[in-house]
Amino acid sequence: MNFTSTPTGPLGLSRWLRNIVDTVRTTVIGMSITIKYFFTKPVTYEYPEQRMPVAPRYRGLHYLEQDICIACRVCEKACPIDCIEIRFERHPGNVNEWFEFSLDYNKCMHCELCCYPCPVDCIHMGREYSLVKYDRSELIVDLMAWDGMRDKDHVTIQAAIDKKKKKAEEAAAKKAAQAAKAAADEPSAEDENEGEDEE
Amino acid sequence: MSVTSVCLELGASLGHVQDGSYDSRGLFKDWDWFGREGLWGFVGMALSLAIIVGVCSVVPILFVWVERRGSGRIHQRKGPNRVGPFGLLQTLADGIKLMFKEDIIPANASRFLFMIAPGLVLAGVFAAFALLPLSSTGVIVDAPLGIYIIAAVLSLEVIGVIMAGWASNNKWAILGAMREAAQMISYEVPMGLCILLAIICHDGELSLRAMSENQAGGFLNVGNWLIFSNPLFAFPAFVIFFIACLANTKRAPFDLPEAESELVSGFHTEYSGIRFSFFFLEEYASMFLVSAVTVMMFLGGWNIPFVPGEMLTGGFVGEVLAIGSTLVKTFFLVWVMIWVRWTLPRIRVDQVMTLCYKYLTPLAFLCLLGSCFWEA
Ligand code: SF4
Ligand code: SF4
Repeated sequence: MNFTSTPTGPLGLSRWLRNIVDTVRTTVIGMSITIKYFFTKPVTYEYPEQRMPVAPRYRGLHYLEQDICIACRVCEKACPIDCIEIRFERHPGNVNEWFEFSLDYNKCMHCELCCYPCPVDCIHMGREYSLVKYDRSELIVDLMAWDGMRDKDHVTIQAAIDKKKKKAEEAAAKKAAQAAKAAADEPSAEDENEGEDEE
Repeated sequence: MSVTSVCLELGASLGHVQDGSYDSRGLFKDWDWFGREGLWGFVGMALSLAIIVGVCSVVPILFVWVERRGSGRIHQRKGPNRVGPFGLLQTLADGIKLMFKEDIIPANASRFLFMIAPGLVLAGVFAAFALLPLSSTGVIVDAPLGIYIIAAVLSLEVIGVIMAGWASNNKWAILGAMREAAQMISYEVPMGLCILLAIICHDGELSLRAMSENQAGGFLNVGNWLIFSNPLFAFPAFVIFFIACLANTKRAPFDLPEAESELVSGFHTEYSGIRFSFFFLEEYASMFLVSAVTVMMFLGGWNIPFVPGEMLTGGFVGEVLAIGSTLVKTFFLVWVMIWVRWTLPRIRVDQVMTLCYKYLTPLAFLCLLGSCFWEA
């Protein structure tokens, strides 16, 4: 729409008429465009009920496959801003008793650097993006899916302890035998007798 | 309340300025409440007032909903759809919110003017509502000078706007008010000329009811509608009048007085709470008003195609059909206003002047002259 006469000289009759025609034409074109959009389907996703599909590579909130995790702390070290906090105790038999595997989403920039180095590939970026909380402290999210020690774990630990004990005993015995052998090599009857008693 | 009753009294007294030859009919003609003294006069007055207040507050609520949903669909959004079915109660909820908000009056504002300005703005529309004949008897005050009074009270609204801008003691508000003043003197000329054209084409009738009645009959009962009976001159006049009406209601592309991207909110920058909602109501009520006036002058009033005109002026069914047809046409024009708003960008002040003075006024004059010859 060009209502003014300034850009290209004075407003003559032909220009005046042309301006009117232009105005009507462009208005009709514009209005036909808007009415076309009026009859198209809205593209709205009504968010809490409907969610927009996200790309497969979307880097949302993390999820952890804790039963595979070997508690190697590599992810914790890889994170450039120290979001991940891992606390655990490793029991005999490689049973991990977890105390904490938390991620501070106050700081996290969703760079995925923690996920690449994981040796067993058990921490991933998920598709979930909504992290609405009433308080900042709630943004420190516990990723643990660990539900405490199970009977199986105790058995494993016990077995490991027993095995260790047995191994230790065996080792001790071996050592003793070696010692005895060493003693026997020496030319002393008393030592030999002592060694035999021990056996 | 007091403002509206004063307006109604004004309308009523103007309605009774008539010579003996004029057949004045009204919604309450049978009971002749206006003519009565004492209690019945009061009851009639209260009832008419209730109707006006009801229409004046329900219609804007509906239009705000249409505007929001319509603009939503034009933007490929859904628009408000949470409060009530299809979001119909959203405007009501907003209204309640506005009522409970603090009514702030700036410290350096001119208190009295600041306080009465919204009332004055609304008063014009309220008064004009009494004069709208939705059907041949569905009119509260059938004033013989109908269109003249409406043109007058529409200008009253401008005074309220300027008053609001001046009294706010705010640069943006005064700029908005000055723009409104400048805009008013430019759109009123073509508007007045188009009204004159309609009066000439309707045998010198100034009453909107007479105008509508005049458009009955003809080919399929549309032949006598002004835009069809005088297509060469009345149709452009209809378009010019509609553009002037857009400017009158301060709707895009003529929303310079409130241009929110330039002037915050223009003349009502300093208003809040219920006073702000008055301006808001006024905008949508006057959309209805000017659309209804356009319908009655150019689009055949209550006449429906294929339905004989006599059927619409008598009997209950006829009345209902007539009111329905007026409302449908009016709502269509209101929709066009909304549609235009979401299509065209706001034009500059000088462009408004150029449009009105250099284009609409000469065109309106041409149409006026042309239809003088057409009707002769
Ligand atoms: S995504 Fe990046 S910032 Fe977030 S925890 Fe992993 S490494 Fe740290
Ligand atoms: S890098 Fe993987 S295995 Fe290692 S602690 Fe992190 S999640 Fe567990």
